[in-house]
Amino acid sequence: MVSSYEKEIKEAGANKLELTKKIDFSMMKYLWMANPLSGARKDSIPKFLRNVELLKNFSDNELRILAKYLHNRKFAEGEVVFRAGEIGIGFYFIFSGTIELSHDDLDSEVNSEKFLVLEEFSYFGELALLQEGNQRTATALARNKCELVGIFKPDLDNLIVRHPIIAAKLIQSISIALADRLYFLTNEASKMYKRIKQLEAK
Amino acid sequence: MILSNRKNITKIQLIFFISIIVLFCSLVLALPRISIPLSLAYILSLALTPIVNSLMALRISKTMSTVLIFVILAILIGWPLVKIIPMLSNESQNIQNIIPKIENYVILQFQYVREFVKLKTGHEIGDAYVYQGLTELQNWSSGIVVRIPNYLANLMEWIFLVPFFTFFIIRDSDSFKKTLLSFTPNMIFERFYYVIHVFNRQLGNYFFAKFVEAVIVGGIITTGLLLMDIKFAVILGFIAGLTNIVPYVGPFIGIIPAIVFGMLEYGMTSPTMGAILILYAVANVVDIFFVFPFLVSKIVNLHPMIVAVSVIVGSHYLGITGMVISIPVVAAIKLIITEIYNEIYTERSK
Repeated sequence: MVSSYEKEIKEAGANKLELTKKIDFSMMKYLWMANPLSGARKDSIPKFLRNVELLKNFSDNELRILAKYLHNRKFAEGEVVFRAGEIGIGFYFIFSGTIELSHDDLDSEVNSEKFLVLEEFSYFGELALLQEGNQRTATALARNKCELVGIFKPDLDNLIVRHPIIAAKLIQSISIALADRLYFLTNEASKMYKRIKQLEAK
Repeated sequence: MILSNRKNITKIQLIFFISIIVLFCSLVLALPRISIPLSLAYILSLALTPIVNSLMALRISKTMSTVLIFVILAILIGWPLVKIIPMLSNESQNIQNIIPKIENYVILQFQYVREFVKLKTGHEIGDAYVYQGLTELQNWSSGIVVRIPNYLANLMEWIFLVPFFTFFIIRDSDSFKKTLLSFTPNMIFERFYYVIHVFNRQLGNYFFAKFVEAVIVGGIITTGLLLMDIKFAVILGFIAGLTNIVPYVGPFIGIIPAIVFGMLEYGMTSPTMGAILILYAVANVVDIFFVFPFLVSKIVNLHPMIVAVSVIVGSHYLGITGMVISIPVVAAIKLIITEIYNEIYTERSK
């Protein structure tokens, strides 16, 4: 008897013997995963959401339910997700790829000012979920091939009616993120205000 | 290659998407035998979805809540049906006696008029027209009797198809929606999703409002007729409520059976007949001045002319179902046009 499978392969190779036939677990596992009926694809979105910082207060089961209300959207390189000034209803998580946010409308590409590049597990467009008739403040562009997972206002409406707790948690998470940003912005604004006052005094 | 260019792919996606929508719409118009029960099922599903939602909030799965609602509905509709069917067959036998009654009534009236004219002018009116009319009435009624199996076959088909479709529309609405949205091109995705959401909500609100309106009108008429102790009160009230769903034309259709019945039973000039007419007028006044402005018009803000035209067009293509669904469909088309208008004229032109 040989102590390990690797040793057996080595020895068999050296002695040019035939290998003993064994169940190939890795192949079976591969075939199982590749089976179109397996839930691998369905599981991947809750797993992805687990890694999103914003959703850290969700339980696994809540993420599984939330995933049912999300939509997968694929974007080609250079495709626009939304433009500044458009009415928006969607909030996106980046499943894969890179998204570039810029201030100006893409029609005037010369002076479009990129201010943020977002990678996997980031999110953007959260204001659209909360505001009525939200106008996008920035243009989002797929820098490379992107897969986004989006939740839209109608989905949120359904979620509120059917799973109020999950909807409340989602809105709470978004509110916390927005409150943090507002706090940061208020600080920045007061700093700027002081700076202006100082400059005016000189 | 055509497909290697990204812009071409976007265009092809858009064309593919639009052609699927066009194909679906033309199938609906071309196959009324399927599309009528399908639209009825859709309307029903819109009315039932809020109940499913509240059941789901109690952590009951979607399939279970749908099954639950269907079981409850089956009991609610089935139990009275068992009670009502013997009553209905009794009443319908009475209705069979109505045609000879109409005949007698017309002949009597005609003879009276003829006597009167002869007395006053000395001329005798020919009776050929009257008898011809009566024969036509008889042919028409026997024609209906001949066509009854046909109607029944349709009705049986609907009785099975409508709940069948409704069940799956409610249970699988989310996956239908997801499939439709999955091949919606990125460039119109958010807008399209928003429009179908508002469309569904508007349609749901409209039918809910119409349902309440029908219950109020039907309730007033049924109660009034019961108080006056008139036969067929429940059936007449039910017809009035049901026909009230069709705008403008509906109330007039609803009053016809009452006029025919009242005329035969009490005579055209009797006080009871007057009371019946006043009752119908009151019910419609209540509807027009109190129910409609608060419930329906807030949901569907259409010009009366557009309403009339859409009812006619609807009845032309899909019969009574067409008359019922025409208003919300036109309201939805208006919504889509407004959305496109906003896109073209306000936002992009900034």
